[in-house]
Amino acid sequence: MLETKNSEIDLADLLEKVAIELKMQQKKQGRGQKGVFREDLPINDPFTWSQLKETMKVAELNVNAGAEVTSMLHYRGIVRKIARLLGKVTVFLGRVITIPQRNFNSSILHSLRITLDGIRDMNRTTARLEREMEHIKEKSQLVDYLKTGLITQERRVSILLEELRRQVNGAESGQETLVQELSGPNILDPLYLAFENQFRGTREEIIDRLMEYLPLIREARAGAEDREILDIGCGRGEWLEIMNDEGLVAKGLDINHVLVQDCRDKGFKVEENDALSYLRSLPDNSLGAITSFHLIEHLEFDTRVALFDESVRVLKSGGIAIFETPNPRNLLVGSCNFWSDPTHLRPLYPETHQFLMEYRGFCKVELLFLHPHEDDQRLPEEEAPELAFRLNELLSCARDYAIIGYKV
Amino acid sequence: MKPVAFVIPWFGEHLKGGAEQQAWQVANRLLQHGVKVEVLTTCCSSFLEDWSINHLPSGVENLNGLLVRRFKVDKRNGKLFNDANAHALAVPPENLRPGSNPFTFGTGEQFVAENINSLSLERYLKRNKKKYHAFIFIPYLYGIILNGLPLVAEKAWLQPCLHDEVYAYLAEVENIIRGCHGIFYNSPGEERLAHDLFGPGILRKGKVVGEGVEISELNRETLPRQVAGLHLDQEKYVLCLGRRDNTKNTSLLVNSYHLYRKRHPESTLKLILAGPGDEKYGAAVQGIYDLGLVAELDKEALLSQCVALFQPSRKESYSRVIMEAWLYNRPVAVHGACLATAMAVEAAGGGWLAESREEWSRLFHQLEQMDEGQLLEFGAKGREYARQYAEWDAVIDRYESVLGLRSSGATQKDNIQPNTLRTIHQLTPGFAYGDAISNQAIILRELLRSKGYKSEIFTEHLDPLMVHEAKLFMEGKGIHDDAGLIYHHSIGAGLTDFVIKHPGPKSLIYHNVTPPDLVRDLEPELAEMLEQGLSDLKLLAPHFSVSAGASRFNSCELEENGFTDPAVLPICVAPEKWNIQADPNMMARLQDGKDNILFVGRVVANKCQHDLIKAFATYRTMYGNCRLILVGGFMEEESYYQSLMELVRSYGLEGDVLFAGKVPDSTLHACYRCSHLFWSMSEHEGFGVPLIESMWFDIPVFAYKSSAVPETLAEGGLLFTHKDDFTQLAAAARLLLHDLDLRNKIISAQQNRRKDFLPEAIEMKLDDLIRGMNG
Repeated sequence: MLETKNSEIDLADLLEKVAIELKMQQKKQGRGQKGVFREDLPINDPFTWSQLKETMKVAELNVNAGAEVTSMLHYRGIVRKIARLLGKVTVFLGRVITIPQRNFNSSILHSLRITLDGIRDMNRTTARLEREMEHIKEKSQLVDYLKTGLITQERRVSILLEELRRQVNGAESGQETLVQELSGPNILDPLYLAFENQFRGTREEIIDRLMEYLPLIREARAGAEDREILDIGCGRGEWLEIMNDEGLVAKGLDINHVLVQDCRDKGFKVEENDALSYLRSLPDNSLGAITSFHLIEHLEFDTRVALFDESVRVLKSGGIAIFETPNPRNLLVGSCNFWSDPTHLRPLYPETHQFLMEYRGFCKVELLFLHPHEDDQRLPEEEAPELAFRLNELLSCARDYAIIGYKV
Repeated sequence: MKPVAFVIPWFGEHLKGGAEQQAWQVANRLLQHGVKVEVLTTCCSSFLEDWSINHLPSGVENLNGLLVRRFKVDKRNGKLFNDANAHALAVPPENLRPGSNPFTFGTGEQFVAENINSLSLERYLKRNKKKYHAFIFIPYLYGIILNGLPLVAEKAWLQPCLHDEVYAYLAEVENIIRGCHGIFYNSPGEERLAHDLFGPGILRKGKVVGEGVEISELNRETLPRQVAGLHLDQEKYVLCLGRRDNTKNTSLLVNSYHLYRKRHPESTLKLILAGPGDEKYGAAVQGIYDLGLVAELDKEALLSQCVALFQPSRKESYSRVIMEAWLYNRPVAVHGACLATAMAVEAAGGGWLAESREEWSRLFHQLEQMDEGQLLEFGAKGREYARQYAEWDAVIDRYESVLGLRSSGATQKDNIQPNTLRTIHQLTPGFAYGDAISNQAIILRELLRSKGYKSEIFTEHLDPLMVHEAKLFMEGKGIHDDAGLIYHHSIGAGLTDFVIKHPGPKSLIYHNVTPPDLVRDLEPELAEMLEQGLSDLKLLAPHFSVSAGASRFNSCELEENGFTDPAVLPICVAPEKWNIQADPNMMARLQDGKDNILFVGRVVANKCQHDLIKAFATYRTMYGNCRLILVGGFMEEESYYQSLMELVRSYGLEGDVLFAGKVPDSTLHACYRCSHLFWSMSEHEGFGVPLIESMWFDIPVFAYKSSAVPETLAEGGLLFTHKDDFTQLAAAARLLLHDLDLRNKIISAQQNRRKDFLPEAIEMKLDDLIRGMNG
């Protein structure tokens, strides 16, 4: 591969030398001589420090421009004296300009140095952080893996425990489930319907409020034939009505026999069952959406957790879960209105439930605050604006909130 | 003939010192040859006296026909001088670097100003410049030389008597070396040192004249047989002659002899020291005889009978005693690190080199083992060499011929034929600082003018830096219809129509157009311009009966495009361009012990800097301690440059690859001076000026065989035909950098090749071109 017209050079000899040179290098490499073969790690340092240093040096050399007369040694005798005198006069007169200029030069140079030092430190920090990020990424993958495993295990344990409890309690409570206990005996079903009609708000009001969720459902592409929507605790069926009108495939679930009948009369598909039993009967990855308005505040903590677990399991990938409940942040709701329903157990703190859903395997879990008091119910702000504002914040803010999560 | 003047700080027959003796001898011998000689010197009597005192009267003195003019010295501040001197001497010799001044903080100016100076001598030089044929300034270091030479620079010859010492790095010394008309060297070693210190810019104005030695007329029989009680013919001794002090390295020799005697206590080989100096050696060591200053006859006797002469000094520009020993057929040993003496001994084969104490002591032993026959063999070779360089007749001959004292006047240049062209202008598309075509146009213009033609350069795009060199082309203004025209064609220009229509005699010089395909991917706009240039070529062909390419490669392209019988007019690449100071910052920066690998060429895809960076990365991984210097214009925002930067970053080469950009000549000078290898991966060179420039700087060229590269390199450099195996290329580059034998072979071939691009070589081809234009 080498060529030359130089008659002094013996090419064969040269090629052999090259081969020997290569062999020696390989041997050195084999022995692992450090410093000969350097690791070619790419470095992302956008600065050419050596060039910067060079230019800084030039700046440093010239920072005192105009401060002194040169020694004029290329002149001699009287000429040099005159030249030096002239030089001094020029420098003296020039001080008007040169003094502020020198101050400017040195302050700029100083700030440059500080900046460069800063950048150097930042570069070091960035490099360190990048390395740590890598570690964290690796660990977080491991955590995800463990989390999934844990949820599966906990679900199995809770089913086992329930089974155990059932067997211990014997035949008399064999049919009962936790949800049934919570919602009370069927005998009270008509009463609850009446109560709903009195306190929950008119059917139109409710439909109005629920319409807000439609875009979310559409976005999650739920309601298609193979992505059915399940509304747990469908009650009077306002949500089912919306779904029906929008042409979305939806099914209701309630344990109140009267309400179930009412819905069926209106032509909606409704199951009469408790939430957990029904969900457990469903296969994995079978639903497009699970909605539940004002249900979870009726459930005990472990049931709520089980509900979240089952929801994650049965939802298809990308499926959405919406749980709406009264907002205790609103003082009126938290201290009073919440208790209007005698079957409510306790107000649910928003962030706790956001955390719970996230922890049990939902992703992109968000809180959506809804239904503030109408303006005419707010305190007028004219007289004491600050006070009014703060009170309105406490008394007239969102009355309900929804926790929304997705399955990965 | 006008007189020749020697300018020297002190002058007299009996002054000690190489320069003083040389001046005395040469002046008198030239006088004997009938040359009018004058000496311009000071009233100070010698180096050893106070330099501000006028010991001798000023005025003219006639020494047997030799006119000596003495001028009063100036007052000086000795303390300031000593301070400056001490400042520079504090720099350890190993830290001295060519091109960076050790006299920092103005001490250099101080050193010169408070040196031995004479304003009246300077005034004389200024006023009487015209009265002299030439001035010979000798030696390099003193005030009257440093300040006087620039006043008569165009007639000044400098005989520096250069040593590798701190003063040689003084900026004012570089100033006179560059400024003088010519340089006389005492020895090839001194010449080499000057080239190392100042680069190839001074290459062609220097001449080794040698230094004569007066061969003793005395018969050996008449020499004394006994010196200081020693019967010379019964003793076996090594001789060391000359001043004895630390700068002459005498103690090294004494220590080495001591070591030798410890190992060989039975030895009878003695060491005799003779010469002036305060220190006394030898009392403590058996076998050493320190004779101090001896009479001339005794010295001759000692020389004629010694086993060998040892000269351990590292600071000699020329050693008379070596020549004297050789003329007595005695071999010599010198310090290997002293260029002047070592080169002489190597060239002559008249002795040995040694550096360390160990080597010197082994040499003692080696000599003791040799018989007289072997010693004589070395001595005879030395004698041969001495006769060539140290015989006065040969030396004076060289002075006379270099100074033009004997020739019957310069040969007349070919003058213009009658009834032919009087004016030949040149037309170039662009004219820019540092551009190869522009430089060529300037050289051609000078050649044309020297032949008596009126000649100007016209250009379409004029670099503001070059306004003094060329004129802006304005629709043919200033170019008469009957004027001759040389059109330099490269990339597409708006000049095509004009040159086609021009009715006068014309010729075209083709500087090559990069094939557009090579750059189309990365620089589509450039590709378009190149295409235009190529298509113009076809248009031009029928209108130019006379044409030439800058290389055979280019001529072939001309032929392919319809030109008939194109000639070759190579680009002129002369070293005088580099007789400028190299950028001191760059010089300091690049001489840090790394192997510097250089490529010079615009940053464009077809020059393949990307391949070079990759190959360099391999080299660095294999060997380390290296730097890649890429000189050549680029725009920050150009994508090719950006991709190169990316490449550099991805290999982590930020500290080792230097993008110098388009640099001024002083910086390019520094880059060449400090580089150890020129490495080209370029896939297209129409000629390749940097290849030749590297040859002038004695940088081995390692280049990919493409386009005009093999033609331009000819026997110079080393070519490679594939660039896929970077490790193999890196290994070959390593050899080029560190295998001295290979390096020397390449460099010596390149020294030969580079001569083909001197103006003298180009001139004949230009004559052919002009003849063609004349029809």
